[in-house]
Amino acid sequence: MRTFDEGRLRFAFPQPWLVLKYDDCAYYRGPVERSGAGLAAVDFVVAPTTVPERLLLLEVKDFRQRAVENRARLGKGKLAVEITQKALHSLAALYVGARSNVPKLRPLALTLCAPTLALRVVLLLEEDPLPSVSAGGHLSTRAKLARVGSTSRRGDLLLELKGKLKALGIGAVLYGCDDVPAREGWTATRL
Amino acid sequence: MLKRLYVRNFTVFAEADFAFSPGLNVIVGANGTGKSHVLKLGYAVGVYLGKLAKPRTGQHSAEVEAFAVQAGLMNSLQAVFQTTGLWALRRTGATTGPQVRAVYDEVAGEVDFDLSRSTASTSGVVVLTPPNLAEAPPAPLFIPAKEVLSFFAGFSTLYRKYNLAFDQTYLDLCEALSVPLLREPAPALQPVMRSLEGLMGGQVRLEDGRFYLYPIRGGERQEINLAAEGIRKIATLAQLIANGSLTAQTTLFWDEPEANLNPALIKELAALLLQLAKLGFQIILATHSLFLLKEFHILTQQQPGSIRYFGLSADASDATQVATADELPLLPDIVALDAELVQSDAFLSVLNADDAHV
Repeated sequence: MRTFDEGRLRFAFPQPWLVLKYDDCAYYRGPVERSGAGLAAVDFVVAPTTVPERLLLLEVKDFRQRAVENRARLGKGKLAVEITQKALHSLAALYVGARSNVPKLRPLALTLCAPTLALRVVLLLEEDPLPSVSAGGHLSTRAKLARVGSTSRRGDLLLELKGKLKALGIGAVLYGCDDVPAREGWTATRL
Repeated sequence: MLKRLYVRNFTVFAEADFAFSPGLNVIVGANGTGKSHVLKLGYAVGVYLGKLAKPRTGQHSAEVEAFAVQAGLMNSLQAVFQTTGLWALRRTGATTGPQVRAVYDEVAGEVDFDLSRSTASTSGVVVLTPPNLAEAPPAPLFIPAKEVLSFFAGFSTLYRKYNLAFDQTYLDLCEALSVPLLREPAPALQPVMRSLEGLMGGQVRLEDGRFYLYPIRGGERQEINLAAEGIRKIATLAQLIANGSLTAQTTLFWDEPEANLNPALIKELAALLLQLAKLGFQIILATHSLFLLKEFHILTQQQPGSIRYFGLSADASDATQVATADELPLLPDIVALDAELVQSDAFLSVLNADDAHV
């Protein structure tokens, strides 16, 4: 596995996958930003070695200890717009870069141009831990209310994100570090 | 004002004690845990006391008076629960009959009665402690889960003539709704009326035995049947306040006030109910809605303790247990919360699984 740190989170991807830390790469920091077009960037662009080809646009949001300042952003659809914008901006710049044979993007170019390429936005949203089940296996009403609030908010956010991306033929999923399914093949852990 | 209701072997309750607050009381529980039974019992006893308080002629003997007291309670219970006999109010499997004790502000002591003389063929009530009325308790109001304005026209006449499948609460509510409007509502209630009219987008009026909605901005009146069902529920509350049937002296029992209201209206209604409670109205409501409960909790964040919650849940023997708390998070076992917790987890999983193949 190859690991990448993003803030206080560590991501591990299978060795053969193509992983580009896009918002830090020379292509984005160079020509894309210099274009002055204000194009936003996702954190990672990941091409698993699967057939048919897939491309994951992974955006990381670590809201731990910042729940209050981000509440409005989560609840009023702002985050869904922000992620959609980042995904579309990143894709636009990636396609232009692949077309121009930018060296850093060369390994991704074949994937990007595959006619059957499936695109998916992955939002890794890490929040403060929810109250956990007590030793007796009981969850208090206060804890249940907190869990319902958080899970409902995440469900609403994902629904909104899907609503924006589905018509563009892009899938969307939302995970936290603890609930990335094994089928994904990659992991996220807190540092 | 109803201060306390104690029941034993009554419907689904082996033993339960409800100490109501003078403001907003919220009963929450799964279907079949007896929420509506508590509301109806409180209402039936309140109606009985209201009738009992009416002046007597003094022409009858003590025995006749005692009989009248018992018959009045029996009739009230039967009409409200609409059972074939009061024996049906016994908890299944109980070896002794139901007992009820109610404590009111207006009654010196308690109203204490026993339904254990009832059998499948006869109904009997023994009033153990005859009510000693310190003053006339105002008759309570009951708003059932079904809205009534849509079938209001002619309902009272039909109810008196035919044996309809509606309990007494519907007739009583229709009669309360038919009272003429006050010349001027109490000043303290005018902001509430304005809020209600804002929610309805108009004023409700009773004309020729039918209800209409008059738009605030003018224009033609709208038959109430054409208004949304949620609006008709708001209109019911507005009419009861506007005609003085609902006052700070009247206990309001409301079964599932959230039924047929959209979330935006539920939020407004929650605020209004709290506003009424602050004005001294005693409100006892039953709800399934986690949305309404959460809204109450949000609204009372600055004033914890302004709502009393009663959580009803069935124990292993199917008898309903009652937990009381003055804050929602302190109430154990909210079925609606458990269901939403499971659903919100499942919803997020399903949304993620939708694109698992991508």
